[in-house]
Amino acid sequence: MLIKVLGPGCAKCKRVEQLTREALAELGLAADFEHVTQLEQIMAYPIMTTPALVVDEVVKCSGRIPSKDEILAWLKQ
Amino acid sequence: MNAAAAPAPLPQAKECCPTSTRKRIEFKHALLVDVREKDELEKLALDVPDLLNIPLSDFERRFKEIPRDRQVIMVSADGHDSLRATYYLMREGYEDVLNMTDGIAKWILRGFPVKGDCSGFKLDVNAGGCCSAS
Repeated sequence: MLIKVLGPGCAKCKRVEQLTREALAELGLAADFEHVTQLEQIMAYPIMTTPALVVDEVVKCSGRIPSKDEILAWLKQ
Repeated sequence: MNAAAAPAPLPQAKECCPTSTRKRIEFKHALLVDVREKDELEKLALDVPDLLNIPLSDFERRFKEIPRDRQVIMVSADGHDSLRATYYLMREGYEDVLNMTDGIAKWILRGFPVKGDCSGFKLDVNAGGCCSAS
């Protein structure tokens, strides 16, 4: 599984990563993480605002910090 | 199952300074699109003959109001939000879209016309470097 956090690397981006890592641990899953900080790369995804969470190249949310429950549901899919 | 491929990065957005923007309005009939919120626009707006306001908060829903057959220059307070909107339009297939570098702050510093009150507008952008400087 490949997890991407899109955003400039601010506190919100770090929070998204932290919650996602916690969710992965709860599910006993492993994933590779990638931070995408370049605007040309971020805006290649269909989003307008960051932070955004991308799981296996599917945008799960953007412009907000998702709850851990949301992330758990996405990771189970 | 293999994951989908990552989208290719977009090419670097084209940018133009306020002076070039004015020339493009005059000679290329360029349309300015201000992505600030409506209340910000009501306080201070560029004094240009043709301006479209599509706030960033509503951009994904309304971007199709922007014509594709005309040069478009995206504008925001300091050029950052408009750069994001520029890339969004590029991804949507708009071919002639530019970002106004340093935004309205640079426009004001160049002494170009605005409607409204400039006092209190954040002007912490590079004051020099515009192409009309001689």
